[in-house]
Amino acid sequence: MSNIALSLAKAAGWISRALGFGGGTTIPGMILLKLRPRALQEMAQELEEIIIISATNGKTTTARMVSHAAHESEISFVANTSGANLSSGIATALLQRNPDERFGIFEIDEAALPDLIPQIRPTVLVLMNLFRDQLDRYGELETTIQKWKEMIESLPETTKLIINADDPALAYLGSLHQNVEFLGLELTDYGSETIPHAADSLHCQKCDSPLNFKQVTIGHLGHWECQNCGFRRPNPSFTGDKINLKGLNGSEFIAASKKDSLEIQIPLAGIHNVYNALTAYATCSTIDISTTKIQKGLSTISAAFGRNEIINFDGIELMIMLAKNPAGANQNLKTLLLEEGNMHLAILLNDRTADGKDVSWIWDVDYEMILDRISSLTISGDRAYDLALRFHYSGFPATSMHVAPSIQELLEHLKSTIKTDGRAIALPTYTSMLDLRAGLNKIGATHSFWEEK
Amino acid sequence: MTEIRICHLYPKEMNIYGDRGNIAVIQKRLEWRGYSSSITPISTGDDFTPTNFDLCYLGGGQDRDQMIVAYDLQKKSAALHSAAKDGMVFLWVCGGIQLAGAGYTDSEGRRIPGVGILDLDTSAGKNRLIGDLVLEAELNGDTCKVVGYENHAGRTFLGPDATPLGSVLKGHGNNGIDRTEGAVQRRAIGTYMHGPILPKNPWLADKLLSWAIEHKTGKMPTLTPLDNSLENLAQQVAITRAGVKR
Ligand SMILES: [Zn+2]
Repeated sequence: MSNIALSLAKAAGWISRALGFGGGTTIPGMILLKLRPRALQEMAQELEEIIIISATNGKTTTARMVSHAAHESEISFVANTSGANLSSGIATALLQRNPDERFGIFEIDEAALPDLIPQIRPTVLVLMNLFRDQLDRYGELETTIQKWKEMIESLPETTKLIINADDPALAYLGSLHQNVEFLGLELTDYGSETIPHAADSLHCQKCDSPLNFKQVTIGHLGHWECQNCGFRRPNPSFTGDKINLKGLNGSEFIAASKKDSLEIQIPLAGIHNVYNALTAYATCSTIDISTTKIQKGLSTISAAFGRNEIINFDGIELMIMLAKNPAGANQNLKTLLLEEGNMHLAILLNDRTADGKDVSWIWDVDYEMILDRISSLTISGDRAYDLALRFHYSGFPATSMHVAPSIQELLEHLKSTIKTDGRAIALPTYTSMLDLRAGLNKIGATHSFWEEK
Repeated sequence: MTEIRICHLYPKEMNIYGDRGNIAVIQKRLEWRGYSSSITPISTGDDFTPTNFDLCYLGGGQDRDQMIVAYDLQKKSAALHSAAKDGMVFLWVCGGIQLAGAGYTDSEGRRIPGVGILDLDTSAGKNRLIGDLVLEAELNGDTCKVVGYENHAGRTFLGPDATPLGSVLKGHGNNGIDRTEGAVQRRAIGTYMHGPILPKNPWLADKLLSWAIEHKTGKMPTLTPLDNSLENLAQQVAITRAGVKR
């Protein structure tokens, strides 16, 4: 491959970082792909094992979990750990790879996946869930499902699929491939029998009839069966059972496969992280990482960028929980409900490209479940007043909420409300999380994200 | 206490653009003025009895769900027409406006039937019309700016019996050509606007409410004014961010 293209692209990353433009996690790859459109194929060919993880929610955390266990297992791998999950991010990671790294662990954006699969040719493809997300950018969920279907139909049989059986649409896609393993959660106290009001994938992919649910864990994930044709959740070969959610302190459950069963403890909150950990277990198990290494890797995982990350400023402990779509936001709220006492809550809504320009989705979040647990509510972001209306029409008293459109006003208001030694929770969209971190950075509270590995 | 009866058509299938927000606004603005309300979800296979309701809502859905719903809606067509004739209020958003018309011709030429309570017809365009939408809307001779967001592949053209809800100041509207958006016929309103439409547009919400109250009581009410300061701020931010001068 052309050395000139490689060095130009590498230099671009260095320059962009030196000039403070950003992490350089995408620019080198972007340049490389412009100069050499086949660079991804060429670079990916040099890897022995390629694991690709995709989903609407949880792909960043799950890829981190798999990476952590691989690291414990002394596997040398390349990964796009900073969440740069389009072709430019993958190309950048591959460009900066050491020659001894024979494994690739990549999380890929669900819309970008169908185009990238033929280029990168994974040995293991992990599909976790599909929820409605940024309809202006991703289009309808059904469109993504159709594209994933075509993608799966053209996979070589050697590609091992790992699929969440609890997602009806994905289970259907899994049934189209020979070499597939399913995973799923057993019946749990944290499931319910009722579907949240704006759930997706409620009709059978085979016959369009409504699905019956015996258990719902998140959105439309659960134990399901078609009323008409009998198509039902496949029996998973990797199961999560005896789930214990310990609020923000973390979660534990028993993961089992045909080969083994082990207790998994993770310092991450919520049933969505149990799904992430079960998926990581199934993936690691598939590439023969030992159970002790998986256990160790998962128990020492730290939060991914902006996912249950704790930042201290002026004596206040601020927990940031990224909330960028209804399913993810509802999971965060459910996790907060497991905590005792009332909370200081900050919610941030932006409508920039990476957030989705349509803010309708906040009406699909069930904020109602936490209203009586809020001791103070501060609302911020470019579309703060849309959020304020969301709470106004839920019956939350206008006098108890404060709109602070800028990050500076938000932090000042939190300070004056909480005083010191208190805890606050922030639920930002993606770009408002970047704004929040930049604001915290300005007052010396945190570090820039591309430093993390 | 007067109860306004709201029918929510296909809430499970047609809800992808925060449609619950529109229902919440209708309920709360009634409640704040001393009216009670009931919400009845009507799904595929359920009967729709025209005399049971004052206002009927239908939101946006995915193409696949819209297809499932379209065929079920045909069975309710006669009842819907009799309700429309009787002055029932309709708010049909996004996929809803398409179903309210004569039908929808998709990109492969297949025809999905509508119920024809609004005089309009829709066919799929090459690309989706996506983005902020700002209107100068007019109802009963009153005008007001209305803001929202659109995301649709359909190109809708009105027939002579329907009038547009407004003229487009920013965005595409019904078809991206004639600068019209939405449709009004008797008390039926169709629109491509979500956001959802009602929270940031209390003027429109209150029009619908007063029509629904008149349908129930036979008398046009004088609505108690409400404090709309949050609504107005949210609308102003949306207008500014859409790049329209006030
Ligand atoms: Zn079926």
